[in-house]
Amino acid sequence: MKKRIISILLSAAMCIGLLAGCGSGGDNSGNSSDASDHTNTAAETGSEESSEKPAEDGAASGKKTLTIAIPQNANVEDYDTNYLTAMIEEECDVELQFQLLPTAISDAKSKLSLMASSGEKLPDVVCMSLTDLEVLEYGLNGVFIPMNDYLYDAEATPYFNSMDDKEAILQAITSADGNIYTLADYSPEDFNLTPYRCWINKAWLEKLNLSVPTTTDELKEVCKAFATQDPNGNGVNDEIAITGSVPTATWGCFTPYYLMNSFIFYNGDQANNGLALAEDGKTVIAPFATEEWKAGLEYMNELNTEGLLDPSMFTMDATQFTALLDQSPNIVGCVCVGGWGYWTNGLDSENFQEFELMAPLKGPEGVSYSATFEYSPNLYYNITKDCEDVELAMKVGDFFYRKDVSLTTRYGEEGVDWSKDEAETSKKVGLYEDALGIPCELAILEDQWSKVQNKHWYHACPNDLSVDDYRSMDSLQEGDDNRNAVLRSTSFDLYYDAHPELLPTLVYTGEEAEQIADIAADIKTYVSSSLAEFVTGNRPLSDWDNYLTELENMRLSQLLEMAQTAYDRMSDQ
Amino acid sequence: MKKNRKKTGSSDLLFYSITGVIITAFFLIVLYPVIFVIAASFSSGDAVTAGKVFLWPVEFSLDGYKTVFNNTQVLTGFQNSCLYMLVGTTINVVLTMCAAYALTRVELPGINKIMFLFTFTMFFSGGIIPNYILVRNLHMMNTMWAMVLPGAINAYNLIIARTFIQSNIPRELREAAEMDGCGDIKFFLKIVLPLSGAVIAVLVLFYGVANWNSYFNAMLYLNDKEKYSLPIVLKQILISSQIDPSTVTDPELQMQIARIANVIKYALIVVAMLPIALIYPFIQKYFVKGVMIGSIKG
Repeated sequence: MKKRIISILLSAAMCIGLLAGCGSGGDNSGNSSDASDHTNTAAETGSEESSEKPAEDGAASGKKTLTIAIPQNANVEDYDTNYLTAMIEEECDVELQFQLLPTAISDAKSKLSLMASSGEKLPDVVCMSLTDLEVLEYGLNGVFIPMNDYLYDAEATPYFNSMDDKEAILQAITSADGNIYTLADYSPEDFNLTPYRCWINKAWLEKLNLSVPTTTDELKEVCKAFATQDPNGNGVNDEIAITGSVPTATWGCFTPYYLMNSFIFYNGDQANNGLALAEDGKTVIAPFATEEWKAGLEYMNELNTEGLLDPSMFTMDATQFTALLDQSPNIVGCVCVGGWGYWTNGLDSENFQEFELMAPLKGPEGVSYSATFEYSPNLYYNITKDCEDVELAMKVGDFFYRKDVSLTTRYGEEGVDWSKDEAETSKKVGLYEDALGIPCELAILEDQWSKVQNKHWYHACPNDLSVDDYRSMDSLQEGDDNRNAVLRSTSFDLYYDAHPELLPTLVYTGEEAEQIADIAADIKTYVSSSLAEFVTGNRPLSDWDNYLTELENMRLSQLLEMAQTAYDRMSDQ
Repeated sequence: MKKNRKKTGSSDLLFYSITGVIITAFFLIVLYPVIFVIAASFSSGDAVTAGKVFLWPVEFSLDGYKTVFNNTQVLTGFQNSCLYMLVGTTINVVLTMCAAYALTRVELPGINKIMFLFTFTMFFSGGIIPNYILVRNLHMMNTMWAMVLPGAINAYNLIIARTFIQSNIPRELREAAEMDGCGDIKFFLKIVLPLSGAVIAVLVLFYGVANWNSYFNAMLYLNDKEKYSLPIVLKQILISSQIDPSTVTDPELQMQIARIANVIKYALIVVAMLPIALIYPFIQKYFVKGVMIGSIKG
């Protein structure tokens, strides 16, 4: 009986639900058919009809519409009412409409490729970070249209053409087929180019009466003392001499890359698939297939056998890493970390206060480099084949390169969030004032980063913020607390120039790029997993020759050959 | 019951205790993440990132929940997800029950072929691009219908429902009803539906959970923030706590953003799983029965 009542209730609920569904469905379908009719006319009718429609719309608001597809950033309140959006709309006399893509970049990319391959009418502009290969592919397929004529025409794109960094950007955005399908976000910040920074526990050094190590051998001695003499004084032998975290999950925390640079220059796989230039400045070499690399592995393997190097650095993710750094009392002696954000509370973290930045160590052969790479701009802003008013899309694209707009894309509203006014800047200390004597030219009044805000699109658009802009930035110093500036300039002093001639970011032709993608993926995985195996001793170093043979089987020489061709082509130009 | 106990021999006892241990172990493995998430959601962000949370909240704080409920996007997402789940599940259950009943009637012409077509979809589908084109050409892009209509009948659930009706409602019942002048529709509404409470509960749960968690369709078909479902919002916030050094413009600044996300991550997960967790106990007893009957006699 009870069961029957329940079943009746359930079926009743279901029927009511159905009716409710129909009811709201009626309303909704009304709306949605309106909406889809609208997009539909735009999508499927020929140019005559659809040019009528915007004209009608335009009559109402007096503006033309531009649709932009952009991956939604959860920390941007509302793209429609955003300050940057309003600024563009007003000054470019345009109405921006947004089509939001998923936040996860891989999802956004699959959605874009789906939209392109389904033959749907694409938004006028795609504003997301794509790789050069992806841009080239869409360009060759005709999904993105070339912008060459506009960019080479100083009247069509005045801001782009008056930029100091124009050449650097042009080089990055020109695809292998000679066309330009994209604009770029150009914001080189030298702090980001040498992320593999190593920190040593100064408090422990002082306690054990040791000096900061300068060579690999000295580091070993210091680490032995760390591991055995209980520097944190809790009576337990819990000190970890050297630790780190995996390069795929964290930024600049993989200590082996730092240590390896005391044996041979390696860019930490941050560009050109880890390849580098030989000393002659002409030959492209693979650092990970050299005798010096082997020597580096041997050194790290010794550290590991003596229990100084924490093997969990090959598996630890960001969360575990932070938990380790935050232990109280501190148990870490020496660690590679890109930025202090990995300590909870960052600069104010108690544990962080114990650390000091350590210069690149000198290896047995006198090598002491830092894992540096050449900055390469991020590609943003493509105009699609369905864009009816390319000139307008170009105008908006160019607008981002106006200096104050570029600053807005990163810092927010002029005069409210940042100012170049001397009255404000004179009150502030520049980020590199101590290191390079560059005074502050950009005062930050209200920090619009790392919070939910409605001033900019979180930098996810074209812009031009040169090295000079960055260096003359406000150090955000409050009172006497200038640690941010000091740490950055120390890092600059110790790491920025510590490298041989860099291999520029190689530009491949479409054909080369496709082949390389396959080869490089295999090789990179193999090199990093072998590194872990050799260092932890899971694989004896006597197996080195097999490692080289295996690399050869993965077509390393072909990779080098293509890189050499690309490099020669670039240096001829 | 008591009699049964006495009969249990020592080998049985051994069997039961071993099974008990194994099941308890599994239970704990499944339970722990849930407890951790709940505890972490009531802890301070710092305690969570520092890895201090194990079983109980550390440095009790409601910051996560405050942030979540002040986030308009989460609320819109929650409302949308509720709507999609309600409408979607209703459509799912109605269509599945109708189809299931029709497929129990052997006199239906071409019944085997129809059944074959349904089962075919369990293993093969047109792929994403044709689906996408279909949805677009039906003008369902960026509407609720793109969330609730594609995949309205799931072949697996259809088979469960059909088997249930087949085994629980004897043919003779229909013949008897027919004698008394009961037509097909009346028979379905008055007799089949009331007798299928258990299986309807199962369907509601299966479809409901699937609709609630539906991420992929929402990602593909919805472009408007006002229409986003909760999983999309959830992913958005969670993704900003992860850093992929290869795709990020400015890793250092990205790291700062990540810290905000850590505070609300767990509160958000709790909010997202709450509705299902609340409904589940009410349906659970039918759930077991419904699936069992379907499987044993099928």
